[in-house]
Amino acid sequence: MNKYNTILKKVEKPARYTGGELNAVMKNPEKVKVHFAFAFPDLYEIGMSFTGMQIIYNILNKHQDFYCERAFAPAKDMEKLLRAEGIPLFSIETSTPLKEFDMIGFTLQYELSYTNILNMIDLSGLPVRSKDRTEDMPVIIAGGPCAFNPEPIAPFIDLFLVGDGEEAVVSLCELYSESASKADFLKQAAKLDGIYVPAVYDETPYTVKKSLIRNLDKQPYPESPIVPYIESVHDRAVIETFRGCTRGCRFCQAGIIYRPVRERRPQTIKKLAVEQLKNTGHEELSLLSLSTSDYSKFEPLVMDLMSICEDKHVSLSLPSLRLDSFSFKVLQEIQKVRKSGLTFAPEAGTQRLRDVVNKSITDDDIYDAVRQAISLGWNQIKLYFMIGLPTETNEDLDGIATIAKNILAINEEVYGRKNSRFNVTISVSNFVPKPHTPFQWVAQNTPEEFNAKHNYLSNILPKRNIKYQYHDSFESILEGIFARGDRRVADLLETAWKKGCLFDGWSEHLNKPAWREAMEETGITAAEYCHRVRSYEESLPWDMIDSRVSKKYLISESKKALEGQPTGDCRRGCTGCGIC
Amino acid sequence: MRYMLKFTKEEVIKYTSHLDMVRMFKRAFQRSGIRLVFSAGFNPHPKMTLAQPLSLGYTSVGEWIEFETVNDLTPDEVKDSLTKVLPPGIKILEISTMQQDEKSLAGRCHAAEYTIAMCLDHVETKRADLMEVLTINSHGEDFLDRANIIVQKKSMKHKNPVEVDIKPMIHYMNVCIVDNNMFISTELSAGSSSNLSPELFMEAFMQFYGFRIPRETIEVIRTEILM
Repeated sequence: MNKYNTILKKVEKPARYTGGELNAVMKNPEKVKVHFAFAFPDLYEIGMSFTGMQIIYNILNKHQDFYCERAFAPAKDMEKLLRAEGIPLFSIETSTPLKEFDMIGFTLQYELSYTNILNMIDLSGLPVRSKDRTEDMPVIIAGGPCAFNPEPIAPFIDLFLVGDGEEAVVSLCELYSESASKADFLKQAAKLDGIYVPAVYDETPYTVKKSLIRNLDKQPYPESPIVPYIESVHDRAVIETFRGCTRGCRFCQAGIIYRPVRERRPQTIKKLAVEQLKNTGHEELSLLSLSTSDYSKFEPLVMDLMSICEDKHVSLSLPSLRLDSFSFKVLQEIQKVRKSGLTFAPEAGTQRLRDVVNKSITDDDIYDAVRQAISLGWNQIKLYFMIGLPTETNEDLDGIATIAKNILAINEEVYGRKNSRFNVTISVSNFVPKPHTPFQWVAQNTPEEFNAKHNYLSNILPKRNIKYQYHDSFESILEGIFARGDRRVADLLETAWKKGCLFDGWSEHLNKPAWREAMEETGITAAEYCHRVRSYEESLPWDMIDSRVSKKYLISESKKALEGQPTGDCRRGCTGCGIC
Repeated sequence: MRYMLKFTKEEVIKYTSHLDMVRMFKRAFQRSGIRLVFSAGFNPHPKMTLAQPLSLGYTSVGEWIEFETVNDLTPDEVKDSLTKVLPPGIKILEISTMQQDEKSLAGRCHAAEYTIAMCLDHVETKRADLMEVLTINSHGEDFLDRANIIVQKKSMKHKNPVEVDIKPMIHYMNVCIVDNNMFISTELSAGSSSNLSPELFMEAFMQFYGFRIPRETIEVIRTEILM
């Protein structure tokens, strides 16, 4: 780090770049066969809260022949200095320039981080397009949920890992250490499950079946995760209880691509919790999954975890709880002192629309839970909704306002008077159709439609005791273009990046005029990628990626949606998606 | 039992802010198995306080922290348990127990000693005699020999910088030039009643002698907290 001491003194939060945190792994890069850089295309504080990175870091570093280091997108002040002084982007463990690694692995968590990927490749001193990188340059790979439609960034990435990474990333490193050349490695790798190599595919198209771990319980999980010195978004011990979800909400990509449900055993979870707390000193323990209370032995697990946390002054946090009577008992117990807000996600304002999207929550569920929460002393309720869902009308928007008003009325009823401290947050996001979901064929709303709906809601929602939040419409259009884009949108990405677009998911950095110019110049339109209804017959850019859920199932779900027919939770009877 | 512990803050951990240092110590105590006494109230927090905040980027060989444990341990037992869990750069220098009614370290702190290291390779000045002047005034004689030393201080409370006389807050200084490096040792007021940041001191010093050195090439080391 001494090399960079003087630039570190000039930047905000230098600890973003220094490494040396508790549980960071130090090895001699000269003595390993594969030197791997895990690259997170956003700031350190964001990346360090990402459990997937800790999982891969742990697995690779357990192996004596591999060394996994970390790299993050430098903040703009750091980037300026790196460019001015001609310093290439470096890893934070050993300050090794990224271009000297064998492999650089990007994680694709959200579409709006794509410009940062190009920027990080460029800051490393490497050409952004795969075809311009030579044999002696690192293999650039990418994985994560957005790899389920790799086409928008296929020209920049040598290899995609689709699906569970635990075993696949080890296989890749093993294969790399045995390969005679980069070209040879890529050719052999394309034969593995879950590996998409654009260069190989372009010669001989093939189907990429997602990589799937059947037994999650046997997979290594970090017992000593890295603890940053500076505050990250989530500063806590995190145990993944299960992967996958059985609920089948039709807008949800995670609900399809992480199928089937695979649980860790309660004893494994408890052991991991004890180890992580011991090895990190964290003061908070959280559980990670798509739907916390769906864990099959949830109640006994929570009771046990509560006793582990007690008297260690560790607080237990349980995200995305289903609000039944048990949850309230638990919440009361763990929020004894201060009651933080309570969150629900009805997603849509009417029962009809909730049936369309298959969100199995009723008005009564919401009101019963709210009544209970208010009587127990909660005075902050947050509700998540989506707008722009298929078949939506003004009635569905009216439904959002009705729910808000009814909650205020329940509060008045319970307290017998108005309570100015009580408040309800209505958070509205714009629906963006995602690949591999039953809604992958539908049209996304235009910015004008989104804006009109934002205004409509703002007019009909009560002002008193209601906080109303919504997302930027343009951002949702960009997300839509890259979510369902094909390889042509890669040009748009590169053009926008060349115009200086970076950190597009940060509203203060999103440069809309530059994006509009880039769209103009490349002829990529939102009309074609977002606002058009695709037919079931149309071949889709991500058709070569097999999520192991059949297209037939997605089509049948899509048809049922339009008829307003719900589909049950597959725990209570197979719904025939084809994964099991 | 109450303890006071002296430690260093060196290497990369110097880029950790005061608040993050507090979090780092909390987690270190959690890992060490030493149970701290928690305050009562709505938001219980462990009884543990750093004597004086240290600016981000400064190193130190004389920081102090005090804390109270549930169990009575010998200072050596505390030292051994903590040594195992503290990160590189944090070394325990000494530890002792405190009386229950003893005044807090933060309350006792009144001054701090610093060494400021400047490399004169980076100096920007129009004065040909800078080196001679600094060598003659090795205790900052002409710099300090004024009725007052007024500097502009930015504050949270006021929108515009306010004028402050820092002369009474400079207790001692010594300038030493070795080859092309200048080391300023100084004792400045520190604590809740009167506090002078080395940044303001350096600013005034360089302005008086008519030279500039890029901030990022200057190292500041706190050598002692005076209590």
